[in-house]
Amino acid sequence: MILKVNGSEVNLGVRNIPGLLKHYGIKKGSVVIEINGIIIKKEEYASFALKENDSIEIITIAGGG
Amino acid sequence: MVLKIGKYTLKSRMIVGTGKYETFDIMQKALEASGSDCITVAIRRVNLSEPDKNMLNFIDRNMYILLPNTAGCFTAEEAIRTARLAREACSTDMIKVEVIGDKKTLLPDVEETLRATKVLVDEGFTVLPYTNDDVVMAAKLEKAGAAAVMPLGSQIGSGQGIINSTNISLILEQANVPIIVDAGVGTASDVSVAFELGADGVLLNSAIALAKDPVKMANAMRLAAESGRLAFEAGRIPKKLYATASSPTEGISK
Repeated sequence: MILKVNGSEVNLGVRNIPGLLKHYGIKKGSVVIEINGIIIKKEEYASFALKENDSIEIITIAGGG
Repeated sequence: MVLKIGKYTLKSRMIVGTGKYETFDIMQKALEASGSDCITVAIRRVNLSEPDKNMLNFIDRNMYILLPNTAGCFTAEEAIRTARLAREACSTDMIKVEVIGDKKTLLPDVEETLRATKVLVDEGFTVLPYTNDDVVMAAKLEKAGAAAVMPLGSQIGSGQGIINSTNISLILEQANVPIIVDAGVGTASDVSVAFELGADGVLLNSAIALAKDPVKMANAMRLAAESGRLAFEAGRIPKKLYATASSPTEGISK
C-alpha cells in the first residue's frame, strides 16, 4: 500500500507497525511512531492497522544542544 | 555541586549537548570528561537508510539524564508536538523548550516560548525554557511553572560568552527556580563567569564539540564550572575604584 514515511511516499507490502519496522531494520525500543499526527503507544504497535495514505513519522533522538 | 530541577537531581551543575561531534566516540569521551550527568539531545526523523546509526546506541542511559530539546521549532505548536515525541523517545518528562524567532541569530521567540511553556507545564512536563536574557520574561516563565529558566549568555554557537552579565545578575536576584545560562559559551572562562555571577547551572555544546580537542576542552569546562561555583560560594571581594594595600601600612622602616 502507498504510505508516506518520514516525508517520502513509498509503496510497501506491510500491514502493521511491527512489519514496517522490520522492513526498515529498526528496533522497536529505539523509536517513536507518529501516524497522522498521533503518537502510537508501543503496546498498540501490533494491533494498529495501517491504511492507505497514512502519514508516518519514525522519530528518534539525535545529537543536539 | 548538586543541582535540583523539579523532581530531578543533577550531580553536576553543567549540562552538555551532544550535537556537532565529529564521531560518536569523541562525543562519548568528551561527555565523560565534562563530568556532566545530564545531556541534551534533539528529536529527529530516523535515517531510514542507516537506522543503526542511532545515537541511543552510544549513550549509557544509566550514566546520563536525557534532556531533549525542541530545537528547530518556530511556533509553540511545533514545540509542544516535539515535546510529546521527546517524552516517548526519551522516557522523560524533562523538556528544554526552544522556540526560535529568527533564523539568522537563532534568538528565541519569547512569546511562543511562554505559550509552549504554559501548555507543557499543564501536561505535566518538567519545562526548562531557553529564553532571552530578559528579566521580565524570566519572571513570566517562572510564574508559568517553568522548573528552571535558561537565559542565553549570547547567541547559540556564537562563542561570545556572557554579553550582558548585568541582566543575568538581575534574573538571578529575582528567581525562585534554578537559572541555567544556556548558549554562547566559547571557552572555560565563560563558564566560570556564569557561575561566579551565581548561575545555578550552565548549558553548553559547541564550545566543547567544536574545540580542536573536545575531550581536553570538556575537562577544562568541568574545572571552570567547579572553580566558578567555588568562587561564588566563597564570596568575592567588592570591586573598588582605588587601591587598598595588602601589606601593613604601619611599621615601615625608613
